[in-house]
Order: sequence, then C-alpha cells, then structure tokens
Amino acid sequence: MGLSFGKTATSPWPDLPPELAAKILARLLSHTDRLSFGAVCRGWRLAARQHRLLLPPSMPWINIGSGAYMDLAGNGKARRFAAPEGYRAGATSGSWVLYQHERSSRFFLADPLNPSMPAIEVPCRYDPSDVTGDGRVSMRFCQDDTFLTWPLKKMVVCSPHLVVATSAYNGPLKIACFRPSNGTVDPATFIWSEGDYSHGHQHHDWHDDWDFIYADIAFHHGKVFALSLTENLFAFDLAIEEMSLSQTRSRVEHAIKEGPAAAAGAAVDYHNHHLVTSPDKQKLLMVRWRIPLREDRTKFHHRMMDLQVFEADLRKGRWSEVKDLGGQALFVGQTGSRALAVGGLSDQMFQGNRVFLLGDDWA
Amino acid sequence: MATREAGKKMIMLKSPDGMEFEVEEAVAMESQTIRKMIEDDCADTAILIPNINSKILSRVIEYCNKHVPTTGATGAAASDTVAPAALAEDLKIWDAEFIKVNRATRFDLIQAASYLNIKGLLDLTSQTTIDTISDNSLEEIRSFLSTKNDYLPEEEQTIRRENQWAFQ
Repeated sequence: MGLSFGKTATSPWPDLPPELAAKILARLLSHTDRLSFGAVCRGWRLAARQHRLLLPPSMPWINIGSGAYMDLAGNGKARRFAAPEGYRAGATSGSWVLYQHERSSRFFLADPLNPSMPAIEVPCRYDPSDVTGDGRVSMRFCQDDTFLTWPLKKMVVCSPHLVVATSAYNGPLKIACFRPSNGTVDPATFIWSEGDYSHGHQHHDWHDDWDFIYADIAFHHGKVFALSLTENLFAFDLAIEEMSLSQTRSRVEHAIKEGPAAAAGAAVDYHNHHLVTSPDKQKLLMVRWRIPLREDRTKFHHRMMDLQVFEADLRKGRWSEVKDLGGQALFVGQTGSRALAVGGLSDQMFQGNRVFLLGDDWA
Repeated sequence: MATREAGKKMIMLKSPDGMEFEVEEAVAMESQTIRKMIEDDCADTAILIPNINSKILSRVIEYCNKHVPTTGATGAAASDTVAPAALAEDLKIWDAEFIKVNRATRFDLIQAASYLNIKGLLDLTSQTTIDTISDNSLEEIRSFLSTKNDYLPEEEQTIRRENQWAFQ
C-alpha cells in the first residue's frame, strides 16, 4: 500500500471482539458494506464468517439497467454488476443476473451472491426489432435462434433443473428444463417446453380467459404458483422427466377460485399484483396496489394509492387480508420480489410492516 | 437536567483504576447491564465496572446523564415543557459534539457501550465506523482505522476475486 502510519502497529481495531464486530456488522444493511467489512483484516474476516448466518438480512439491490444497480441501503451511488470478460450484465430475475455473451448473444443466468453456483444457459435473446416505449430492447424466448411468442416478463429459477417464466402479454407459463452439461465444452442449457403451459390439463373448470393471464408467478413449497389478473391462484406441480416436462405426472390445481372483495374506490385505475413468499417461507402473500387515474387519464393521484396484502389460505381456497405485516418488509417488483424479516433493525427507512414498490412501472 | 430531588437513589460506580462516580440510579440504569445487576440485587453500595478506565467511564456517565430524561420511563416530567422535536434536535447536536473524539477513544467507547449494553451509545459510536465502511474503498477504510493489511498477497488476491463483482 506504500503508505505508512506511525501508530499502525498499535491500532486496536483488528482486535475488535467478535461479538462487538457482529453488532457493527448487523448495523450494516448493505451487502457490499458487509463484504468490505470482511475484507479489512483477518480478525474482521473471521468475525464476518462466524456471524454470517446470524445477521439480519441485507437490503436488496435494484437493477437500474445498462449493467448498473443501486444498493437500497447504500449511499445512492450506482454500482456496476461485475461481468466476466466478454459478457454484459443485463436483466435480473430475483437474485439471478442474466449475462449476455457479447459475441454469440447467448444468455446465461448466474447468481453473483453464490459464485459457486454454475451459470446456466437460458434460451432467450434480445429482439432488436421490438423496442419498448422507454427505449429498451425486449427480451424474448427463443429456441434454436427462432423467437417464440412474446417478450419475457419474469423468470423464476425453481431449482438447478427447472426454470419457469412468464411473458409480458399473454398468460401461460413457459417452462424450461435442464439439459446437463456434457462435461467440457457446452454449458448446461435449458430447453423451453413445447407450447405454453396451462391448457390441456384435466379437470379445469375455469371459463374466463382473464384467468389465464398471469400477473405474477412465485415458487413456493415446491410448486409454481401463478396469480391471474382476476386474482385466481393456480398451483403447478411440475414433474421433470428426462429433460422435459412430464405431461402425465405434472398437475395444475385451481387453488383459489375468486379474488378477495375489491377495494372501494374509482372503477378506473392503474393496478398491479405481486406474489411473494414470507421470510419464514411459510406463507404466500399477494400484494395488490391500485392508483385511481385522474379524469384526463394521464396523471396519477399519487396520494390515493390503495395497497392491500393478502395471504393465500390454500386449505380453504381463499385469500385472507393481512392487516399487519409485523416485522416483515416486502420489496415487490416486476422481475422479482422478496420479503425480509427486518423486525430487529433500528434503521429509519427499512422497518417492518412496510411494502416497497420497486422498478419503473409507475414512477 | 432537572434539579436533583431529595431522596433519589444514588449508585456508586467504580472504575478499575480506583475512581468512584456517584450517579443517580436512573442514570446508571441507562446501561442494561447495570440495570440487570440492580434488579437482581447484585449491587450493594458500589458496582465495579471492569475493563473501563475512569476517563472512558466518566464520558459514558456524561452520555447517560444527557440521555436519561428522554429515554427514562420516569423522567418524563423534566422534559414536559420542551417540544419533543426540539429536544431530539438538541440531543442530536449534543451527540455530534460528544463523538468528536480520536479513534482510540472511540474504540474504547464502543467497547464500553457494548459491555454496558447502552443501545443509544452503541448506535452513536458505531455509526462513525459504519459511515467509514460505507463510503470508502478498502484502502481508505484501512487507513482511516489505522488497520494494517495483514493478509498475505495471495490471500488478498483471493478476497479481491471473491468480492470483485461487488467492488467494481
């Protein structure tokens, strides 16, 4: 480091007692800061390792596009996703980052928080002919360089062998199954299931087409839950056989057949739905928020947001409203949502019983 | 501070270097550690505070004295005439002055706050360290804390590689 400090050798900081180091670590809500802490010196690194599992959750990052992200608990500075040489970081889905290989335009999902997890190739491409309103190129499902149906909305990595995705305009799920790597050359690859998954199953008794349009999907208790625009809930129990979806062993269940009573207010509004699993993984929550439109239909009444949270009661097949989230904070967005237990935090912003709406879908 | 009323219970705190500090029980009970001792009847006339020298202990008592009227359950009467917001603002300014100490003292204060379990003081003393970590590069953090980089070159490289994605 080249610099020398007179009292360097006598600094007490490396000898910070581990329990005290843990107290300071617990106050660092940014994951990046926790990594910095662990990199300072051996003593701190040891403390960070020992207490890793006992710390309160660090706060999420938001993907702000062009390979940059913002740490919600950071100082407002944008940081860049690190990408291996020749790759570019693009979209994110939950904690997974979609990297694009610049020369071949192939896409790989990797989880930067778990570097030991191998990257997996997903069959998606940017479609340069389809630019969204705000100038972004949309991402499409594809197979063998041919674009399939609609732009991709959200991907959920259920297991290293199963990825499920929804598309932006039509409802049904796309399911990708894992084809293991052949050892040396080819990376592990996902193949999309043929067709869209939701029709063709026995015992379906839904009639309204709106039921097929999914607002959000989530992986919960081993099943893929899909929430329709009509606030119906479907549970997909997906069985994988030899790299493809088993049509005989996979099941879909119409778990909740009606939405909760609509909130009072204007009939015309902007609304959005999110599914998120509680921090203890026990509950499946639906966040519904609506903003009434003004008469000219161009501007929102910001103060009139109506936000409700419901818990899926799968035994009784209905939604029950959650009036108090307790020590949970929900972070919900179009490409991924997360519920965190923040009960013990003294931070002014990140407190329990709050819902944070992420992304650019209403700003 | 409110004027000291007659009949208020006093506690004697002793530092290992032999100094004695007489403080109101309510002030001493800002420390959860001392509160527990008092509640468990482990405290006779004097409580020995190990590992905290008189210089640091006097500063800790100064902090507790300042903070007892707003946080103490029974001390509300003293602050009734002042608007809570103004009082909080006043405390903030006082805290900012209080923490203007050198690194070694701050380190001692953190340890004292941790041992005595005084949440407000621990928040205050660790915040500077947290700010240091949040805003600076690894080299800056180390130089600010006067911490020597004690990693071997190859260990340093491993850490940099592990954290590379976050430190770009």
